[in-house]
Amino acid sequence: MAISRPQGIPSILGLAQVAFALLPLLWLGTALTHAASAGFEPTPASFPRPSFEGADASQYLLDFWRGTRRGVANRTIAFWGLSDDDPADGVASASLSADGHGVRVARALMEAGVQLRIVSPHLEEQARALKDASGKLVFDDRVTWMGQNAIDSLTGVDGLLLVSEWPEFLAISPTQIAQQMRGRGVFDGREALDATALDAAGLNYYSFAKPGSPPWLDPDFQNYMAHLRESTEEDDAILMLPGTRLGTTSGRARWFLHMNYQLTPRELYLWRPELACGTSGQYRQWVDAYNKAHPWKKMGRPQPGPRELSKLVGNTPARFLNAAESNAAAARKVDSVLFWTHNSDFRVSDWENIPIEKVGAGAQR
Amino acid sequence: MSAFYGIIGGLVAVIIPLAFGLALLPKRCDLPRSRYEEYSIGYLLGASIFTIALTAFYSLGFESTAFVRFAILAGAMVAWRHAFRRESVRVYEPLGFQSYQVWVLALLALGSIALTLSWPINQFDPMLHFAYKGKVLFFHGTPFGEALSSLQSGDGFGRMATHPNYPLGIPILEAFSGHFALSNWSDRWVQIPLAFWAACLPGAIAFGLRFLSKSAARWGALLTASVPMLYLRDGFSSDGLGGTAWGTPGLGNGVTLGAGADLPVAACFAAGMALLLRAGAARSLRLGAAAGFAFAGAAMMKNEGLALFGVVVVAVLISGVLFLPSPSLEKRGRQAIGLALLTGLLAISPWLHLRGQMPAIDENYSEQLTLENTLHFLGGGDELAELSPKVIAQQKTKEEVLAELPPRRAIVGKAFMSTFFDFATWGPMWVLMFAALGALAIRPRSLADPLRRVLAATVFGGVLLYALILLVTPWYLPLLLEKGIPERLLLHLVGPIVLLIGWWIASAKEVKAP
Repeated sequence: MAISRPQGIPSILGLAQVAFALLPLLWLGTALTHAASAGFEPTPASFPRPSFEGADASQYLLDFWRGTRRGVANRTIAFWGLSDDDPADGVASASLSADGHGVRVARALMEAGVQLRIVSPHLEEQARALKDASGKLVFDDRVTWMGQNAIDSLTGVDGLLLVSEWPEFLAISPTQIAQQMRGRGVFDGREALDATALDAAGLNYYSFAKPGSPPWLDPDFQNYMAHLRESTEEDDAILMLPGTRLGTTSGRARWFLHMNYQLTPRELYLWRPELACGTSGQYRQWVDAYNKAHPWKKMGRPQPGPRELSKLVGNTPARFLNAAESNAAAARKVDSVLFWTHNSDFRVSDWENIPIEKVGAGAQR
Repeated sequence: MSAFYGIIGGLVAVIIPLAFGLALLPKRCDLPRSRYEEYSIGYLLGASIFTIALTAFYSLGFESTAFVRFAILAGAMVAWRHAFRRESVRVYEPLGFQSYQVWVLALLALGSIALTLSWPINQFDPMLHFAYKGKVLFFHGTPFGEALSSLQSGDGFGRMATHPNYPLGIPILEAFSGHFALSNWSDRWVQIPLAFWAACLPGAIAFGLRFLSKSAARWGALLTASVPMLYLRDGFSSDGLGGTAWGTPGLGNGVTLGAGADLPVAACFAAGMALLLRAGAARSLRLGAAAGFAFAGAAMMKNEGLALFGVVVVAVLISGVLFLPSPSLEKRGRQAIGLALLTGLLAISPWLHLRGQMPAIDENYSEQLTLENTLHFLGGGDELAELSPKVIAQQKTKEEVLAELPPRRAIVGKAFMSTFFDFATWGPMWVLMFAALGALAIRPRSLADPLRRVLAATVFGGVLLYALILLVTPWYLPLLLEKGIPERLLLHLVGPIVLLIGWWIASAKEVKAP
């Protein structure tokens, strides 16, 4: 490009042109600064903080316990944190509202008869005085205020719910959590706990966070991909089979899509991929079709032995294959079968890759 | 070390198309241009030719082996030598940018390249719709392997692929970056040949407008480079500077830069229109063929490129360019335009052959775009509320969702109107486009120029096409709007729109001149 020397002051038109360019220039500069500050590698921390899906959490917890022999009443749950505030903003800015997700979950559980042990030292005083719209105190004697004793709050509880990701909570080891709790359910409202480590400690991890980051950046998913890359050959063929009924139509549960990309050139096979990989409508058809076909029914379950990522045994999604699945595996010279439990939250305990010779064909219950 | 190989491989995958593109351009003494224009249009044309040739190669059942890659390298060296040895005139024409304008253009170009490479491929569509196919070509050397074609099989089991019949332009560029990186695939560095679209687009516009006036060319280049949508959409969300999009710039669905397909469609289509105008004006058959390649290149990037080529064909036919004699477009100029259409058709046909052999799981718009459907929604047909996520999740009934929504035609109209006045995403482009169209309406004599008729018809036809597509979409439209439609579609038309504006500016100056 030949450049002519500027002659005098730029024209109004010229200035207007430059003014129009300021917006994209400003944005490009900010975006590059953002990328540099993240080390040019996207991580969940580069994205907005996960939001807590409070309504889902209380409904799930209550349904979960209602389905058991003990029921809901007299259950005890530890609440770590209570407010929606981002701990990164500091203690000083933390505040509590009767409409906050944490408070609403607490109220729903209390109304169902659940005992709460709340650890929220920064907001305890405020919470004790918190009133609802009718002027009634929100928290009553079904709540035990635990001060700063997060570990003590776990003794004998049926579950743990993390509402705010304060560093002191995240510093507690999964082994300690597992030793203190009676139940096995850990419910994470912020996707802040280490699901792989909790799984290895024998706990069942459930996330109620709506992540701000894309699924393929989930640290547990990344961990599991690294594990599969190490434990399989590049020319391996892997048959992916849901181990049981598909419980969700959430688009985020389509982990197989991201696995397929990340594990290429390994050959991943799936049942009815033209539906599973299609539009959201086709994907829902796939979920319905699989549940109607119920190929997991009457299939026994192999005991795969201790896992490399987890000592947890007995919670495996693995099962034996039916005749159609066995034929498909044989026709494609499949090396292993990757079983999973269909879940929008990536949990290591949902996944099990078993060499084909150990799965067995047609072994029925 | 692999980063080093990745960068080298990516740069080789840029230089090869550039060599082919430069070799196809006429000599500078026959077609004056600045260095900026030459390299911009050369890269866009070369990327088109490269992807068309490889698609044709794959469609015949061949595989890209090491020998093929060596042959491509050798061919590029010959093309490079030809492009530089044939020139008797060494100097480039000046465009007369002032130094602050050069700084603005350079900063925007360098910023767009740097931002594209600042993250590895990290969005759903670029990763699964395109880079997965890139990996398939990289590892297997053919799209016909099981990885893409065994989506549907007799026993119900198969390999996974999203949109297996999407065009292979971007996957080809990514795969060859990996090949030339000594067979190292890197999610970051395979984007190198995809990092230049936004940088080249203003140069292509300047190239297209220079036959009118240098000031139109300068104006066009600066206006194009200043369109924020080239780099992002929703950069400033409704929350203002503290909004989500501002909080994560460069990440997520709001970014146009990266390994997606909308920007390359826009760039190649702009190059096609610019070459078409120059072909007609310069009466150059060589440029006519080049225009056809660039249009076909847009079709290699995304299916919409194919539809836009159809719009150009219709625009040329209805504006009577090929048949009506005009003093401003001599016979050879008309032949050049005819050759552009013929070349485009021929260059696209191998892709259509290949596409016909791939399974299809996407929405079929040619089935949707019927008169019956169009009349239904134009007549006030309701939105497809049964596809609303809330209805599917049984949180609301279809009737409840419908009660909250206006008819679809109103949703489409509102979406377009808000786009036209969204200055944060488009700058002043739409306002200027309406001014240019208004000027044409006030002075219909301007349409006596056949090339200007083609341009205006392409802009009008393109916007109409996308409005119709939205009107009959089989998707739940409010969900599409959340995903950046229609902005992502209208981006494809930036080239012809700015060319039309540039022409208006050039003719306005003529009128003012004593």
